[in-house]
Amino acid sequence: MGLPASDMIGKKAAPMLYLGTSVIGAAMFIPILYVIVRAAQSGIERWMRLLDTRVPELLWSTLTMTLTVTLMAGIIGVVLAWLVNRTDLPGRRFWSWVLALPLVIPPYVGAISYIIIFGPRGLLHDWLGNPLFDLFTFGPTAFVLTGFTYPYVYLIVSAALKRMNTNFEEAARCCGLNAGKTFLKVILPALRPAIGAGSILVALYILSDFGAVAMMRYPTFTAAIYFQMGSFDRSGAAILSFILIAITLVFLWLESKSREKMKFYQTERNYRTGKIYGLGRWKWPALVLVNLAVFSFVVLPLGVIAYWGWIGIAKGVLDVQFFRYMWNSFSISALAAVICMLLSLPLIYLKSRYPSRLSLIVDKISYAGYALPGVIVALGVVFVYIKYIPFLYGTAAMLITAYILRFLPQAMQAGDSAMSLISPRLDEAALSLGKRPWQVIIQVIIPLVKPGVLAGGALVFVSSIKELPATLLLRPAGLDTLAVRIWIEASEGFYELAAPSALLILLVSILPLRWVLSKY
Amino acid sequence: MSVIKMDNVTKRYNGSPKPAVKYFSVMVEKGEILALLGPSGCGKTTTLRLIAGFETLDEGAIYINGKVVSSKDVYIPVEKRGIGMVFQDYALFPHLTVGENIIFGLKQGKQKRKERLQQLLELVNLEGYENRFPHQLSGGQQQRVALARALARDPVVLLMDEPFSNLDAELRYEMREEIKQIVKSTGVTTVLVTHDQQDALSVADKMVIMNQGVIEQYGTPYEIYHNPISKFVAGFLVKSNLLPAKVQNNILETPLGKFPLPGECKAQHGWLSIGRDQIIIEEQGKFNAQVAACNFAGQYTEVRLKVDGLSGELICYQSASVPLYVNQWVRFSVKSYQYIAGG
Repeated sequence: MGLPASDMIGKKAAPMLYLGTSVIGAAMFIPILYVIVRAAQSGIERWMRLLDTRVPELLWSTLTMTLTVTLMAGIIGVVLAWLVNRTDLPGRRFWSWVLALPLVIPPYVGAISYIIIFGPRGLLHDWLGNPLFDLFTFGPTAFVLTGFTYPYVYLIVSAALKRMNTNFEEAARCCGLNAGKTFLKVILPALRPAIGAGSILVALYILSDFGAVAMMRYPTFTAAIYFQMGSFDRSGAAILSFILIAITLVFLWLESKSREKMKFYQTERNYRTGKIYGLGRWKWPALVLVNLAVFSFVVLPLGVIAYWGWIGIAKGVLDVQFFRYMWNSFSISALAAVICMLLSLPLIYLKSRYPSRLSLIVDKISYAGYALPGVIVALGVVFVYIKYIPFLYGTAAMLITAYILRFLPQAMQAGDSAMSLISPRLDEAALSLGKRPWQVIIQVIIPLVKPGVLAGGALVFVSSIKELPATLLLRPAGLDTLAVRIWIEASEGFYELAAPSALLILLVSILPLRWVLSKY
Repeated sequence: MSVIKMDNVTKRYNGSPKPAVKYFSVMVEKGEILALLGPSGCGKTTTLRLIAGFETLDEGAIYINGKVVSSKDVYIPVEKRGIGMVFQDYALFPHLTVGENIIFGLKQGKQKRKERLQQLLELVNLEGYENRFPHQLSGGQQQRVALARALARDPVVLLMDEPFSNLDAELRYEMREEIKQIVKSTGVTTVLVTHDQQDALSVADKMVIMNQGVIEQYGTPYEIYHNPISKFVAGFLVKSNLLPAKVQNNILETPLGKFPLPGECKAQHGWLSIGRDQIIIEEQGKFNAQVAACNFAGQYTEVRLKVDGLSGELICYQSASVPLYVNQWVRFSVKSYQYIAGG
């Protein structure tokens, strides 16, 4: 944030700005509120029946999966970050960005590539007569999810390692600790907030993921809510959503805790780069580990999708139909991105220039959509459209609303960071030169935040194209997008039909890679 | 036998043509405080890090208590050298309390560690602070915690990197005295690095003035201050006025005039060095000058004098109660001066 609160005393934002912000905040919150209200209205009987039957089972499967994947992603992320940043691993500069690549592969696309090889009707089955093991069980599912989520930990821990004050390490050595003990007693504790923050992102992702777990046929809350909605049992879906929201809130609370702690660890800047440790006889095991990770979660999924995509294209999948899906995906996502950019402007401006309780609350609410599973957002959107805007029910408007609810935070984050770089002194300079406040916004603020806001828009665009659960639930009849086609074709085993769409989504996802990586 | 001995130590960093430290030799006796003083980039911090073992050397050897700790073939790891170090930013572990920070490196049993902690807290005057966290302490308190942590294992050598640079003027003055007293009471051999003349002069028993990786002068603060042997030392430490001088028949010829040569003639060319407090503005003075600027600094006034025939200005400190005005003509005399031989 640009300036201390005391600077703002005596200043008031335009009432219109407050009003607009409140409306956006409320609009962001109402769908979720509706899910909660509907769950509360479902009656004790429904609650008891679900609590007796589905809920314990779902809680167990969801939480065990979340915790297992979080733990594994945490360990892999920390080990890889350490190897790449602080050891003499051969080719570490190359590995440092290749290891982050799985982040841009949508986990459901990753899951498809594994199904294509190890699935019940996959390649291995064709070659060997049996698929070696049952892919649709806990272990393989956890493996696949870990592979596409560990970059959260890896990137955040890498950034922390680069920022870390090397004096702590040297102080520990002066206190008589050897390299190993220094790692355990000084470096690891200093990394704890970063590890915590990364792990919670992983946990939140696993809680909200629908595509990958559904493809792997693993029952979690999101999948259960999806199928409940599919059978038009909206109260049941609302009750399950209510519980999932509660679990998500616990993790969000943990996240804000870990953020608080993070502050203490970012002490003074240190320009000396950390000591590089010699791996010695551990060089080969380390290389094997890095290669294994890159092969399993970059080379294999990209290779499989590219190969099947090529087969599909050779078979003539790129027909008029395909381009219609493409147009649907691109046009709806672009619309969502533009609206997100426009909505984010007043929010980030108010938050930066007139920080108040209102702007803080709106900010927090807008970010809530980020952590909420797509299925719950979809449920909320359905409730609100049926009740208040029934004439738009079943149109693409619902889809766009869901995208905005889910991805506005991404646009805001990008805009926020651009906004925080603009000194309030610039505003004051423009005002002192006789500009009216609205002129300041148009002539100074907007041109300066534009790159950040556009980057945010690009992120929203890509995320919307990849989005699966809300798209499946809310799309108007007959409106298929790339993501929807992937889901339908892959569920029926027509991989060569699914692969070209997946390939296109992968290509689009890689576009904002630079920006995604620099964020951590 | 000296506790630390550095013998022709040379250190080159990759990619830089000039060595950071060149043929550096010094001995530090038991209980002595040695200050490495020099402008930034002179190699003083590298020297300190070489003693600690954070850097490896390219030539020469370092001995602690007579044993080689660094040479071309020997490298004793940091933790086995018996050193304690106080870092410039203190590097207190933010996740540990004051007490945990201080006993961080101790390996004895719980009871022993507790006793040692009390001793150390008493030593640095921080009794009762053991459960606070570093960020809850003031700068001076943080520094004392860092000192206690460095002393916890009874190190043979205590190293301090710019120990006073993070403190404000008032506190700096207090801490110099306090740190010197604590260090002296433990009898630990100490090497500290600083770029501040006052730090070095007031704390050190011996000083090394460094410039561009080599030793310019070694001695006690008093010796060096009163007998700078190079133009660099005179300019950096004494901040004296330097005028080019030529020796002819035991007379120094300078732009200011002729001066009798003090001592023996070591070289034909050199510098006349006049301390700032050795120029006295008085009516019966021998030289004429015009006041170029007056900067009142409380106890004294810094006066810049323009003298005909001199390219630069002379700077002197006056405690005179008579106010001076810019462009006023004054007379001054030179109370004492030195001749520094060589370029």
